[in-house]
Amino acid sequence: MSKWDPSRHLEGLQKEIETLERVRQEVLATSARGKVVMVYCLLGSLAFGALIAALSGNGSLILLGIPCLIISGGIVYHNYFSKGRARYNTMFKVGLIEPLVKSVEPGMNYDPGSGISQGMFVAADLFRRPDRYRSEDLFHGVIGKTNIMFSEVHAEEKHTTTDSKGNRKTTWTTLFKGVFLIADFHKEFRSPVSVMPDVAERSLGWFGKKLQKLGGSLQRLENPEFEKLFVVRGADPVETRYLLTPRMQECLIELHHRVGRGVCIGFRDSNVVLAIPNSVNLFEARVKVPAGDRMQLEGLLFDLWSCFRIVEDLDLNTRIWTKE
Amino acid sequence: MWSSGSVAPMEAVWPIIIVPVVMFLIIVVMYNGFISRRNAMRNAFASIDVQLKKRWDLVPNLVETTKGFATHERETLEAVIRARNERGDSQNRFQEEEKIGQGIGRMMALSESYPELRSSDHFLNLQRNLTEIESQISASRRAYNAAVTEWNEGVESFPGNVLAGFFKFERADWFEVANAGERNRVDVHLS
Repeated sequence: MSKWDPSRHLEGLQKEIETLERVRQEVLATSARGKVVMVYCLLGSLAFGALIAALSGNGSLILLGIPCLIISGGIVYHNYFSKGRARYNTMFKVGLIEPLVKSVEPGMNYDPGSGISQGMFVAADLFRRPDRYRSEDLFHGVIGKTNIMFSEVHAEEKHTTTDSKGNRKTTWTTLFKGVFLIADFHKEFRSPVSVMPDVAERSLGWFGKKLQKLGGSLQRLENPEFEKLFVVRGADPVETRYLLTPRMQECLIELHHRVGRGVCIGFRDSNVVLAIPNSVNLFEARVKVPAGDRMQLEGLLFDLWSCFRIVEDLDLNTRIWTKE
Repeated sequence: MWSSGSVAPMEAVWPIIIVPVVMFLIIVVMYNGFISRRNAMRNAFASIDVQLKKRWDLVPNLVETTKGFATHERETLEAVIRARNERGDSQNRFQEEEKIGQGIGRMMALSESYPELRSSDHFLNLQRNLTEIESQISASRRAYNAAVTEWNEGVESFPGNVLAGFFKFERADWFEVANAGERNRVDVHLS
């Protein structure tokens, strides 16, 4: 698990890759036919509009070709482009990601249609309650002694504004988009602790540091680098330090450097929760790229490996405390 | 009669009232800040005591569990018991607690020499409990040191130091290892 070795996991998947490549070629062929059909639709719609206009003697009726084009174009797009891509994507997930998951971590399962529920997302209390929530690509199972689950999540908040004329405008802002991970923590604890990116101190310096206190339950820890990166809140100072040992602080610094800025961590209900922001839609097939494309497969494998490695990063399999 | 350019009697009196009131409020807020920091420090100190008491309660259990295996480690056992008896109202109780901690550490290491101990559920349970308590003690000490840091910052920085001097608030000491040798690097030679 600890060593990054993509070849070992990709070697046994040649048959699946060949099957997928055949499907991809079919999808591409269908798309090529779709482009021709789309041109026919365009010409047909124009001819239909022109015919109606000529028969009625009203030139503006040529515009009737537009709805005709929209409807026929929609049907063609669904049948020749979107349907095939969705089929390929599903096959890619079931036929390739699933065996890859089993190869990297035999104790893990993959359920592409499911995700972390909104209730669990809200219960983690890292973000405000979302108004629109989507989640897919659920990975769940056991790594060593640790139960773990993670999925892609996109949580949004609705904002409605009314201007002076009484017109209402609705906009959606992203609360969180990325990988949301919940793992069983190896220590017992009662009060929740949150470790969030230190935006205030980074952008406002000394003043930001003072502002942080207004949020309440602020805990300052010993590691200066950790303090620069994160702001820690926990009601019980002893329990906060029991969870965030000097070693755990080092682990979180390393994790921050590995997964990038903006990672949020919560300790709650005997679990550790990680929200790792990412704007890219992970674990998806790219139909324009060959199924066996080494870069695509290694990238996919690296994403999986990075998520699984969090158990090792946070040393969650060490069970020397009272919680087994 | 007051001319239009001169200050009315009440307007002249306001600053005389407001300035001392504001000064008084500032002193009250600062003083209360000191009190809450001192209480946080005392609370953190008490939490160390709670964890030490928990560990202390497990010592007889540990002694009893390892009795049969300790023929060659009598000194280890005796060191733990001696440390236990030395405790009480002693001034250097934290140093004695440290001795107890070291003794417990050596007792825990007995399982390396006695595989029978490793298969004893009772011993393993005790080992887990003691590991947990040691982690809690360490966390309590760190929480205490954090509270002391905050207190000392208040006592030493301006204008807190003026008020601290007036109310005789003094610097507090951090919790540090009693034996300075423990800070040194440990070289492990594996043959």
